[in-house]
Amino acid sequence: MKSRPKGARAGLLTIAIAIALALAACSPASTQVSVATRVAITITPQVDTLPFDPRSARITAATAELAEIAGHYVALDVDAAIVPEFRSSFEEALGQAFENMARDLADLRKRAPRVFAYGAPLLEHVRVRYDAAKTRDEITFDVASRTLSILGPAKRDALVPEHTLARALGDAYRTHAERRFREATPDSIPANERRAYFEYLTGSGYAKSSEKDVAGLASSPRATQILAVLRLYELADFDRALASDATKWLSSEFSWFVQQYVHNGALVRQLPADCIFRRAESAYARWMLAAYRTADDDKQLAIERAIFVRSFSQERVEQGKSYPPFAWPTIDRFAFGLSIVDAWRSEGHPTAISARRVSRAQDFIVCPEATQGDSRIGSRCDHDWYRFALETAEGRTRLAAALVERNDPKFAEAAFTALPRAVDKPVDTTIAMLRAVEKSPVVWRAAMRAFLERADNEQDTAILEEAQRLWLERAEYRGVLLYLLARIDRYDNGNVDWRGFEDAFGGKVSRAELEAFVAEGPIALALLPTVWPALAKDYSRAEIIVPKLDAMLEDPSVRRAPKGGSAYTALSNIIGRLCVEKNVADLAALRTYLRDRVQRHPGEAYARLADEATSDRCKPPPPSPPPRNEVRLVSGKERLRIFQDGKRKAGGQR
Amino acid sequence: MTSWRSLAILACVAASACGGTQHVAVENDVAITITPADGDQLPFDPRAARLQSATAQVTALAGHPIALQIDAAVASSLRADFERQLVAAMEEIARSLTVWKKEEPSAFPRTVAALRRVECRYRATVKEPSATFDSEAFVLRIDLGAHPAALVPRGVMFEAFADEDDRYRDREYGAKTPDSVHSSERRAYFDYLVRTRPGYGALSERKFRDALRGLPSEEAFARSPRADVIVRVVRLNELAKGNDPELEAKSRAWLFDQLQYYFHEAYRRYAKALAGFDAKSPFRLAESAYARWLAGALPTASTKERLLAVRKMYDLEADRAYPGVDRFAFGLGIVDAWRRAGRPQTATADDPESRLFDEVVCPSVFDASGRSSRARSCSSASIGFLSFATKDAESCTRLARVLDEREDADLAKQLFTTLRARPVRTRDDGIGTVHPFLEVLHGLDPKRRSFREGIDVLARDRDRSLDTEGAYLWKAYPDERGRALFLLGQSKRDFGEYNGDNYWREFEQRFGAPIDAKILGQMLEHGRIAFELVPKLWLGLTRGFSRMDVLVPRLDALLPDAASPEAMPVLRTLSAIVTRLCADRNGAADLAKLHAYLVQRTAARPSEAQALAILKRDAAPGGCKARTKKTTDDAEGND
Repeated sequence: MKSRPKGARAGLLTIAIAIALALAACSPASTQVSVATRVAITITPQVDTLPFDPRSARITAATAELAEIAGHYVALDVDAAIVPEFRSSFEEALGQAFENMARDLADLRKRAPRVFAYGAPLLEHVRVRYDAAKTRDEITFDVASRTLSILGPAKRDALVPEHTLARALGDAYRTHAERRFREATPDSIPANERRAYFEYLTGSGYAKSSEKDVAGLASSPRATQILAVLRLYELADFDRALASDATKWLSSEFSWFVQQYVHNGALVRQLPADCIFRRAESAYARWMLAAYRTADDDKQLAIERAIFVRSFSQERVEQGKSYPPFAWPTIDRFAFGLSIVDAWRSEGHPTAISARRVSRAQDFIVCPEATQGDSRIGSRCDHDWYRFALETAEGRTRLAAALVERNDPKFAEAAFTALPRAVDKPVDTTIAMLRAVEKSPVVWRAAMRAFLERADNEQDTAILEEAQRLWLERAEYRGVLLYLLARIDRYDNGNVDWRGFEDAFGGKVSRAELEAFVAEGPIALALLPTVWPALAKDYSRAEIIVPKLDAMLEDPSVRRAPKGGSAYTALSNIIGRLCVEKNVADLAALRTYLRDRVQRHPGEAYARLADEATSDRCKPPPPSPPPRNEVRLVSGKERLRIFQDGKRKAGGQR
Repeated sequence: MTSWRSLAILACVAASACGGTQHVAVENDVAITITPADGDQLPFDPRAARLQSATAQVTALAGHPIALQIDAAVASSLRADFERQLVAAMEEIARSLTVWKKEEPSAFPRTVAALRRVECRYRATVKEPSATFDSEAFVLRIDLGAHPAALVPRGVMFEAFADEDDRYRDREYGAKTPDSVHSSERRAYFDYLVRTRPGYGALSERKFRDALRGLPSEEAFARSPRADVIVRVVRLNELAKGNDPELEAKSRAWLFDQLQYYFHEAYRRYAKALAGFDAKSPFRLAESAYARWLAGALPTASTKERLLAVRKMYDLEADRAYPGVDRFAFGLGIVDAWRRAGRPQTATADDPESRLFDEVVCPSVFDASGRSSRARSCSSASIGFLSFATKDAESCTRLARVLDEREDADLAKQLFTTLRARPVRTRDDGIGTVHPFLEVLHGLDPKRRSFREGIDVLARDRDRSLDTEGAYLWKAYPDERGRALFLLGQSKRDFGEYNGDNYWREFEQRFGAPIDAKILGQMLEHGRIAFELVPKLWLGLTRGFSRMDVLVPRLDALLPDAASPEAMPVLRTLSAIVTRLCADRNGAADLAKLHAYLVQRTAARPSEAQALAILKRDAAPGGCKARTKKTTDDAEGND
């Protein structure tokens, strides 16, 4: 055992790798390698010899690079107890340590320049120490001594593991920023520090929110943070970069409010009017509406979704509302949606197939549908705006007023097409809304058309009775109403008592009413045989029908007409009805039309119908269809019998 | 011992200067070179430095040096490797002491004072390393096989410390009682009684383990030392009251845990065996002491404690569990707390009180039409309070009495809604089954509000029981036939016109009494759903009373705003009633009454004129022609 320099601490060998290492490599003449040793008694051989080659290319380059990035040299002070046992491994470890630190600093310079600017000048020493009881490193950065300390086990992957320096400097910067900005406000911060303050506010070190009770939510640090960033945004007039970053950060913050509305609804309801949350909510809503105007389609859609945030199912049931009534109290959600409707209207009512396509944001609110050939092109919306409006009496009134005021059939069509999908009881709400727009013929007609096209075989007596009222009170609507009645009895099942029409509707269908009916389109004409018993007898049917026949025969949508039939079936049924009426004149007019049609369109199958359209070829009318079978429960021995046409079937089924 | 060679670490380290390349000759004449080569040597020995550092840290941790004595048979024959073994051993000693200090801070000083030497011994028969700590000899001995992975394997020191500590506490406290132990030692005594260790369970009970091994589980339970520990902790808790808040709180928490870990298990798994235990048995003594304590603790229990109690006190097989604790009253207290809290239907996330209400009341959410829904799980009716409160006829009667006393419609609605999910149970007389829902319903005073709520809940879910229960109520409660009619009407609600008319036409014949004005009026107390039944059961109404005299006074309540979409179901029903009246030869007077009401109503509320226009027209004289369907023949005649 050899004696050691006095003052050395027993058991420790500390090797300080001085900053000049790299210099030594670059200019051997000025070698200034200083090795400060605190020698323990167990060290052999002498430490006069360096335990590594300071001139090795890797160490030289790595220390130089670290010095270049940091702006000065960094001393590495390694506990002998922690170093690898072999010289080559030690050199490898040293090189790796400098490389890791250089990489960390370079990464910070690029990714977190503020942390780099703060931390790099402060980093002068790195101390790596051995702790026998530790299984992982304990890392601290002491600003006063400008030292990064690593205390850890001997078994380790690296002397200074990757990311260690970055994390330590990041933590140090957060501590510094917390001290600097904790009591600051956007207005108290000098303009040149606003960026740093913004980063402090939006960084991960900012106080975490705890919204577990009303008090916690009312004074939520997140709300404070949002308020501060909103104010910074206002102050950042001449700092475009800051304004842009604040916008970017703010544009995702609606999700926090949405989260509170959905998950903490009970707490939000109890918040006092003048708390931080409410102030942040109000300021953020203002900002969000302003941001909406300049946002792109995706952002607009995201904002719309946030504004029309839906409650959880239990809340929906309890509140009877799909949308939390306490959400965004400073935003008039209906008016917001209506402004988007107006924008859609001013752009020419775009749809999914129009030349100018509807934007996703407009589609979300307006839900416009389109017809392409024989099919409907639906919207991908969830009908939120309509649902929001329709679930309250006030909303229904406002929607009706908006429809009437705009007098826009396309808006009315979109609204009444969306309505059945937006409410639980579509017929009831449709009837109420139709009444609300009844005074506006343009709107009412578009609305009724949208409704009746989905009302095939609808057996609800409420529709029938509403049709009766309208028939009596609004003579100008009778054509559409007759079409509605034809649609709800589309399969001639008796949903409308056509033979008793006069009693229920105050008179038979007049010529003018029939003209208005067939003017509703080819399908109306195809449904005429169903309506026939309600027609008055004092006018020629052919005069009204014949001019419309070409359109009916050529319309593709008639293929979806009654009884799965076709224009041919409809025409055949009309001829049958004329036969029953013994309407010789109309039959002759029809025959003339059909012969002409066959000449104009050779190959069409109407020649046979032309032959049938003569009074002498009229067949007796088919018997009335039997009533639909009904399984009747009859007490007694026979537990189940089937009756048909009022008579017991032979060999009644048990 | 001649087989031992003591290796003083420092000496070893001091001698550990690195030499050159080492050659090891082996029998097959192949030379194996141990690296590193000369050129790769460091100018100092980091292993030695590490060993010295680790040793110093252990010394600092213990407050004195700890000698490491190693049997040569377990030491590596390679110098470098041996040094690594030494370093690893010191590191493990340091870690073990650190963990022990953290886990058992009160035991650490005594343990570390008694640890002067660690002996790593070779034992030919050892399969797994093990350690014993002899505190009187100041030595911790580790028995190792040949070529051990480590001289101080991970965890063995901690185990040895813990075993020695257990023995020490047993010596100190094993013979003491809560009353004999000095007040300053009560906390330590409590720790001794209840402390556990992963893999070992309750440490104070370990010494009994061998005696219980191999016994049938019921006998092992009967002889379980836990009963005695419970009696002692109950006593400690009593002694700590007012004197030692920390001990009081800790012992209380432990005792509440016994609901879950001891008594719940006992009452569920050993219910039959318990019947054979006499009053002097350890279990009965513990039960008696515990129940006494629990009865005193429950009224002041925190929400968390009450939550634990409601989860573990009701799903028991034993009839007379917790003697002296009124479990029904405890559950009822939570029911009343729910009422005081404003009868919340939805839970607040992570709120223990919400969870407590969920466990007992199991509140559902009701929408405007009275439909209930629940988004959270609920076990009250299957294994919780409501299951307990309806376990037999006597309990059902008690619950019914509670509902009558409280006169709380919301409470009745919630409890009945929850009880609908309760499965049927065997009757007390053993013959057939009974639904607890109906037992509670039948226990209610039919004149009170709860009975009506029960009928509403029953009618909402239309199943077979409606028909049977409706018929039963019709017969058993002559004054409540309107409610019986509501159930019967609901059960036949889906009948078509033909079958429905047939059923109701024969109603009087079937049930022996007609549906008169009083019965119809009582049925209408059940609101809109009952009102919708009126046109369906029309043919069951007896002659001799004006339907409109019963219906019209209720229309304002049923139809608050005829213009709103929500009014449509009532308007449809009114329309069907008008159709019925039109078809009735004696309907003219009633139509006139309805017409008069509609005229008056539309005059008072012009906004409803559109909604009521057709009803008004058809109820007016001559209006029925709009509702008379024309047959083909009629039409042809007209033509």
